[in-house]
Amino acid sequence: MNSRLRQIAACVLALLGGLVFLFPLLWMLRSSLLPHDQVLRALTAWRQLLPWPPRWENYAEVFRRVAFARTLLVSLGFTGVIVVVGMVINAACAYAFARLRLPGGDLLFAVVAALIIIPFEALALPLFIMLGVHGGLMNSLPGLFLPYLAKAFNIFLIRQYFLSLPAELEEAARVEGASWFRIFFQVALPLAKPVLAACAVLDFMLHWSEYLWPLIMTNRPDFETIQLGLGHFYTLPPIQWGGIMAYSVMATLPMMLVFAFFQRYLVLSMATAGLKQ
Amino acid sequence: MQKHSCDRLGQWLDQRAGLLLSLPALLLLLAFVILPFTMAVYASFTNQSVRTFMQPGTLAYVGWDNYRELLGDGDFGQALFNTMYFVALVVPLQVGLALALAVLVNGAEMWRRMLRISFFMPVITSMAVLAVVWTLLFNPGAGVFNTLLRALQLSPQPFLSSPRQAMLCLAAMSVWQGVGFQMMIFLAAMQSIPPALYEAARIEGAGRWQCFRRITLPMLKNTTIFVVYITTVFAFKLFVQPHLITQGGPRGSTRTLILMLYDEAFTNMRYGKAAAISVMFFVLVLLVTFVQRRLMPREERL
Amino acid sequence: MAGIRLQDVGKEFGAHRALCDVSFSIANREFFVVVGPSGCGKSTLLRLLAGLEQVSRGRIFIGERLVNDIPPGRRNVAMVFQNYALFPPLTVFENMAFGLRIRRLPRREADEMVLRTARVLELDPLLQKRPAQLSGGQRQRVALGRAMVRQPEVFLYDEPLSNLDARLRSDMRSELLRLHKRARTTAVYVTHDQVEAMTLGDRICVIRDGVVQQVASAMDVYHRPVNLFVATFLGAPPMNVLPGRLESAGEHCRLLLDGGRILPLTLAGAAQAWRHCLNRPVSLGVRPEVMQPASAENAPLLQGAVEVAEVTGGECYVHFREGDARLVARMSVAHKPELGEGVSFSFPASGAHLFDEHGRRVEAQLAFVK
Ligand SMILES: Nc1ncnc2c1ncn2[C@@H]1O[C@H](COP(=O)(O)OP(=O)(O)OP(=O)(O)O)[C@@H](O)[C@H]1O
Ligand SMILES: [Mg+2]
Repeated sequence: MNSRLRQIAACVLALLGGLVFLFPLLWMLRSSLLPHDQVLRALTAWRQLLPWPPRWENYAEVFRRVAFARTLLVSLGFTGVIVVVGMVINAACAYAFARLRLPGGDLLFAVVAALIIIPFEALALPLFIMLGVHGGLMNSLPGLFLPYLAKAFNIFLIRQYFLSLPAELEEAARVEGASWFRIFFQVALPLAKPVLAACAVLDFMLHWSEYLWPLIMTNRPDFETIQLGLGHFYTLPPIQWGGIMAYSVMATLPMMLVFAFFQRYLVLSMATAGLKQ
Repeated sequence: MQKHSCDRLGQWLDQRAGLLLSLPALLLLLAFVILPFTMAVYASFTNQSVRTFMQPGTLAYVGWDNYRELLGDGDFGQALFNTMYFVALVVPLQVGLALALAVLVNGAEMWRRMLRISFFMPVITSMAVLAVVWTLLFNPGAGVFNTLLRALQLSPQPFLSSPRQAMLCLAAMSVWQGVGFQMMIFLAAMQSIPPALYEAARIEGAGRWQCFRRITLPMLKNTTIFVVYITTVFAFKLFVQPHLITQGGPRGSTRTLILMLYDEAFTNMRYGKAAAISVMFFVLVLLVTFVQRRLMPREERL
Repeated sequence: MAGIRLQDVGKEFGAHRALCDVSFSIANREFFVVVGPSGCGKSTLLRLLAGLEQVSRGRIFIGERLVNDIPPGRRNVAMVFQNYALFPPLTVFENMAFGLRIRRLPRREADEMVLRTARVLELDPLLQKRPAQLSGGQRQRVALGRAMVRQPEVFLYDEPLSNLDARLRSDMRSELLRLHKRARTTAVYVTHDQVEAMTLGDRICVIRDGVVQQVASAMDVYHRPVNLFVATFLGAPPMNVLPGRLESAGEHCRLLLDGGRILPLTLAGAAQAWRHCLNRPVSLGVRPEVMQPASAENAPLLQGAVEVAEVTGGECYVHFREGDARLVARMSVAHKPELGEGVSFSFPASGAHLFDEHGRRVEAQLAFVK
């Protein structure tokens, strides 16, 4: 009985602690449901904390004032291509490094591993000159995703994972007469699902929030990612905090959804990110 | 006959599978990492700017001029200082807090799992969104923080509009945003410690604190080095918060290296100088990486 | 249907020599077993045959075909792996049909072949399950089935039974033998289990550190081991080795054991192959099962105090020490001695093996001088 009480108490405490920690996010949600003029109004009574009755109008207003749907599509396209196409490209390369004969493979791999430390920020300017100025890819999806398709870090992680798997299955397929391409797609890729999912979740998080590169590569309000869109909406007169908060909530939802579905892999991705063995 | 030649092609491809599978990624890395990196190093020794693009004849090799100008220039010194200040604030706080939170949420109980998720929520909220939300919270007039201070009979603070407080505010917000990520890494590492170790220690009579000191902490050594490393590198990249919240102000107190890089490149369009900042930024990251690699045991190095 | 021939095959991994000058032939339809201690290169040999590794030197023929440069899928061999290597996302049926699908066999024909094999292996009820839903023994049968479906010329087995429990292992052993008799194909079977080696193999190949020691029938390998390594590797508990020195004593010889005991012997044999070890160190090998308790007609040859007595059902292995040598003898449980009790054994000279100072077998008929 006593221990049960203790548990309930711990739960309540944790709930309170969690609420305090999440206060800024809850405040965002609350403000998105208030009439504009009340967002910045000083609090005088407790019941002002709850946005009652909720004002969904702010959300509708976002759609009325800017092309939110298109912005969402750009973000989804940008992130989606990187996650899906990039994953296959990186996994294929990792597989070749882990299992196949490559002329100069060890040296090549050392070079790839060394590329991990080059921060994207140091490449942003020349990439802009290459893709934006000379390549004419400003305000286009390829301009956004091209630099991110191949990732040395993912190649490294996935290769480690392949190396940790026993080769028996692939050898069995080989003896049965399968080509390396078939083995990669039918045998190896399904086996690597955990590490691929981990990389996919991390990449989704990273690029959904991406700010600098889209800021550089777009200069038209009708072609921008959600994060940029928020930046613009935030300064779009007349400034209406309710709408801004509604925009913020909608910009966050897709990540929350991905998190809800892939939570399991996310913990694993943390383990791989942390151990990097 | 046709089947035969098809077979031959298949075999030919199969023998080159390693090359064919790795080629797309390798070419992309060459084009979008190695090539631009070389370009950045090259451009940092030229006077490349928007003008040299218009009139190609004016492009010239300027030697170390860009670097000299940067190092002699108070702006760069301030940006470097601001960045270092941010790193010094964020890294110990974030890593320490992450470790503490990880200990708190390590376990299978319901409440621990609830807390784990709530600590992670800010991580999966984008920095742009949080920047906007925290601007609202820090609002000097009707912001929540000042409302709270007033309710506690304390004097309200200027927060973001004070050169002394602005960077502290950004640091506080950044720690809050990122701590869940590092916590998860610690947590994953803690959960990979074999429970048998703790059982053995308990049989030897070790208490909770002893277990933490003698087992958890030593087992987390490499993870900690790694977490400190990535936190440092992330902190060096500080850009979105000052760009959206303070625009580098007030009075340049939140101007960071990347913000300066962005301004030089896209506001002043002085590509040569911006490239020099890029190169110096890379060297900085390289130094940190070097230290990290020296600390890590050989077999765990990246 | 095809035999296999290896000519001076060598394989190195970097500086490490995994196999060295391996040459032997395997007859068509033979069941050929490869044994050796862990890391001696058994799996490497099998993988060379499968084409999963390339030889560093030498030639491999399957049938009359030189297969050095032929990829695994075209060698017409099938392999059964230690951990079964079943594809987790595919059903049992699709696992078995895998090779046929790759070869683009007409669907109807392929399904027919799978069903026929499944019937032989009594896998029919499992066909729609996935590997994760099967027991170890069932997985092993599916792996066997996948190998059999294609009706390859050669079966390669890499310790296929080592993950099964003892009972299942002996069941599967007889099942394998039955299937092999039925399919009548060539099989190369790698194991480190000597019971498997002795019961399954038409011939046995013993490898040590990448070097083939002996290729012979099970009887020969056991009763006429070419050297001390083979003699002690096969048989459990292993053969007793008594180091000593062979001296000529007029008409016959004397074996001076290191413990001080002297065995008077006569040696006879073609071409007196034993001559070269006269007055040199030699070893005498005696299997535990040929030792008998000394009695009136069998004079005691070895004696010592019992250190351990292991009972294995109807029999009992008595460990004792004679001089510096630790020896084991088999006796019936009825006569099990107490710990520390003095025991004395004799053995027929015909059951003893003589090895020269390099450990090589000395071909000679031994007899004790009465
Ligand atoms: N791919 C490889 N690279 C380097 N060395 C290898 C490789 N494969 C095998 N070896 C080495 O070759 C030797 C023989 O290995 P092999 O797998 O053939 O042994 P084995 O007889 O099958 O042993 P076990 O009974 O343990 O399976 C070992 O010393 C092993 O370390
Ligand atoms: Mg092996």
